[in-house]
Amino acid sequence: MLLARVAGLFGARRHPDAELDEELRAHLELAADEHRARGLSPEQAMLAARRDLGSTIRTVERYREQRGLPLVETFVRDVRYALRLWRRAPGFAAVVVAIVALGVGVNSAMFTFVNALLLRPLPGRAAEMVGLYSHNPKEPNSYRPFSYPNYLDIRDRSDVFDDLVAYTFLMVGRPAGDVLRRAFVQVVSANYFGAVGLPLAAGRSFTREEDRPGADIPVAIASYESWRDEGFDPAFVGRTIRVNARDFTIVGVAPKGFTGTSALIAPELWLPIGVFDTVANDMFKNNGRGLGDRSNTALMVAGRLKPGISMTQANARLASLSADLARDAPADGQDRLLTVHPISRVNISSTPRADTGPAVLSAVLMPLSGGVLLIACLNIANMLLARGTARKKEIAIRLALGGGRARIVRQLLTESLVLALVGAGVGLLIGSWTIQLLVTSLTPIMPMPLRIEPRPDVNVVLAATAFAVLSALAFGLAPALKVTKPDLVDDLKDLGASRLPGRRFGTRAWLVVCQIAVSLMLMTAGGLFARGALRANHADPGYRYDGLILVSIDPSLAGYSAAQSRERLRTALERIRALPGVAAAGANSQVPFGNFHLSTLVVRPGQKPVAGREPTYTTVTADYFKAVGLPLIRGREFSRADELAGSPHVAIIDEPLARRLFPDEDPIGQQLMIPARTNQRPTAENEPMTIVGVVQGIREELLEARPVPHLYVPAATGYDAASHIHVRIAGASETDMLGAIRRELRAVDDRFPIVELRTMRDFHDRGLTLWVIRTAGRTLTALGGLALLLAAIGVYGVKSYVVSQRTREIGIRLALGASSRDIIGMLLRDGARITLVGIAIGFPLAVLLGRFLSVAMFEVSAFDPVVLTMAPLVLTTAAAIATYVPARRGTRISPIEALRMD
Amino acid sequence: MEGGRVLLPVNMAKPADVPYGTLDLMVLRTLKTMGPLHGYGLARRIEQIARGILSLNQGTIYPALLRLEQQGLIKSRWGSSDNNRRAKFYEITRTGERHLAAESKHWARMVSMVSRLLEGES
Repeated sequence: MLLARVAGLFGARRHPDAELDEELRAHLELAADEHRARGLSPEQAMLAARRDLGSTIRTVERYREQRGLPLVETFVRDVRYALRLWRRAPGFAAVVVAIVALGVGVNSAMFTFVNALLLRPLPGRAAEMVGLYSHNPKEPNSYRPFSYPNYLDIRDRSDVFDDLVAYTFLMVGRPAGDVLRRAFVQVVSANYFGAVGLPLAAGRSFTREEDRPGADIPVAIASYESWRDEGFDPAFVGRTIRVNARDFTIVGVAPKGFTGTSALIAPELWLPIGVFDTVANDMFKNNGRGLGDRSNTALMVAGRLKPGISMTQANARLASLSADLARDAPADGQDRLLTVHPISRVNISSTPRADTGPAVLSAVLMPLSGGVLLIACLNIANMLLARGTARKKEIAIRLALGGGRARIVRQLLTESLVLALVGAGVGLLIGSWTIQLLVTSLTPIMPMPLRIEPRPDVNVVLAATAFAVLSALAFGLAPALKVTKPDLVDDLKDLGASRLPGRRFGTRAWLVVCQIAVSLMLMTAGGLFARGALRANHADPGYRYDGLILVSIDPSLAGYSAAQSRERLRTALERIRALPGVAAAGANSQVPFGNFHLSTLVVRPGQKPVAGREPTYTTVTADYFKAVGLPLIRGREFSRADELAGSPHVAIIDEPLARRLFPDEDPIGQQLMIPARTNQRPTAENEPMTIVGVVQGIREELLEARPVPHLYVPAATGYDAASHIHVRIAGASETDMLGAIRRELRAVDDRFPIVELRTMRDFHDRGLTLWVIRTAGRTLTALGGLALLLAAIGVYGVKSYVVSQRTREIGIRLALGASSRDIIGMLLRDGARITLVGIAIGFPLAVLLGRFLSVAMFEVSAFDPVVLTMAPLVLTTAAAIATYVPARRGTRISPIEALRMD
Repeated sequence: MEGGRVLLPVNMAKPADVPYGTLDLMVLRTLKTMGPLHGYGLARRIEQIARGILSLNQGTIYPALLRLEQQGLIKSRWGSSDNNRRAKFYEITRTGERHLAAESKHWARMVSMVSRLLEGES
């Protein structure tokens, strides 16, 4: 039977309705025969027969629905009709498609982002992996990574995991032309790729022998992308590459787009655990004790639970294993509790983290971009309503001829659906360009390669289609219902054209009011974020960026020994200080507003720690404070003598730390110490230090509102990790000095490991946090601008319609002596009413939205007076212009013409 | 210029619409009693019986006939009417008769149930 109906749809198309037509004709003739027999004239008889039969159109339509697969067939027919219709009105169709495309484009870009962060499935079996964490249940925030022996104990003695892997992330140096490039690599245990469950693209995985700490067998697995960049060279596996000035042999190629257990983080190289000790820089070397030592906790651990074991069961069994390990290996097992938690998709941390940050971000961004789609829909509803009014005659005729209302509504909905789907297609393109743009702007400044697929995947396509269907319903339904509301006689008689608009605040005006309200909200949000971004652009930690140059070097990346590193840094500083135009130069271990922050607990000897944020711990050379321009409030700077081995331990603290530790005393001459960690032998680092100076406070991170405590100690003697030379220049151009400094450094050593050589302003511009603030500012400003544009189009559309409806009235007024100025004034006043109602509704909502977003805003209050006055002003001006243009056109008509119109 | 709407006069004792599903039953019954009929004859016959109780839009009978034919309950062929008009004649099939018997029984049960319910209410 279904087949018969499908055949009815596609099959023999010999006049599908011919048979029914013939049958109906027979029906009418038979009925007319009977009426004639009762004495009616042939004409009267035929009329009576027709009346008895009822609406032929409706019969034929129902018959067709019964014959074919009704929905599919009428849909196909409606789509064809809609396409024909829009071909005849290309301008209107293009505008609607463009508006939908913008709305959907914004949303699909946002969704691609959300998808990458939260939804896109992890590769292989990574989604089944859970993270293993270790903490001291008696102390808060005591999570820490694992030592290698600890990892082995758990791997071999626990019965809850199928594959237990260990990994960590490192920065290594790779040659790029004559400079050194920092590359983000992952150090993994031999079973890592097997556990994630994806076959390598080529070559082999690491072996047990390469896994052993200290084995130091220089092998690497390269990323698929790097193989692709080499044109899939068959000899790629077996080639050697330079990592930290040493040759590594590529033994395998990772699967395509491999991000391991995370959703975004895509290392460019994987190294075996055995090379950690030689590849990791000083910061992670734990004072020379290698990864084989229980005190070196550097590894993160994850695994797949055995089938049938739940997280709760696993945690119960791990608790008893923790007790066993505390007894058998107290060095790193005492007071530690092992637990499993889901692994974060976006964070790298030894503390279990839920992905609430990205979820909150998505929860903020999606409704905002949804707001743009909402305005777009309101706009299109308005345009369709105007067009529907113009088509009222056509629709009235169809209703009069007996076309069912439901049928006509369905057809009108199909018309908007066609536009929405075309718009969604274009929107997808716009969305993926937008993401491409974002990724391109993000890539050079991220400390690690991210993998955000700008191509739409199934989720994104589905989402865009859902947006399109939703918007078709949203912007098609109301006008369709309104236009088909039977008002037959009226519409047939005069088409409602010369009727004076009784209600000035009709549906269309309210649609515009909504648009204005929503755009005011988006413009305010955009304005607040833009102000924040502007402020962030010009922010500094507490010293002048102008005339300051930053040289970051990382001797560990070039394979230097500690002695070599120290020697190179000293020579470099001397040569730079000797350059004409250099006022001062000094080095430190971490740059404020950079991507890396190290802090440490500090106490007065014999006292308990004071609550509060741990002070930032920075090593600095002589002249550092002079170079950055941070004034000393009391005491002295470090001298060269302080850097020498065997000199007394000294320290400089800043005001915030002084206020905390010495609220009522003079800090100069007092002592401080860094307490040794539990279960760890105290080293020279833990000996008491004498405070020799107090400097002004600075902020450490861009997002902090005020200065935070800092502890400065003299540059350590055996330190070979990254150093940052700050050069204050006087009376020379920054560009010239950059060149001069580069030449000096090359003169020290032609493979001097320069990681960064740029002005501080430039460095700040490339900050990750700043990028986030700026991108948020730009995105929201763009959304606000888009909303403004759409609202203006909406006002323009309504006003054009109103003016065309009131042509006759305007004509009469002009004929009676009103000036066109009076008319324009009248229309502007009418328009201003709509705008003001919209603003009155939107303003409190905008303030509310601002309050809601204020957690994410940079140093701007939700009640920022500039934004709160500018946004309504700009909106009012735009609306006034959008009213003025059609109003002026309306007054150009000659009175005679206007009066003759009907 | 206030536009007026045409209001239908409030209809005294307006005949009810054909209840959903009963048209099929009436068509089958009529075809079983009267033998082969064309659409117009069928419509007239049902109208005569239902006069004053149901208002039948004659056109609605054609989708119903198609539906019944698709279900194999009736079959059709082209033929000539008494006054020599070419028309399509419908005839109940064996399946149709079985269906009619079953549905009649079901209908009778429904009717007695509904009337019991209504009597109980009053």
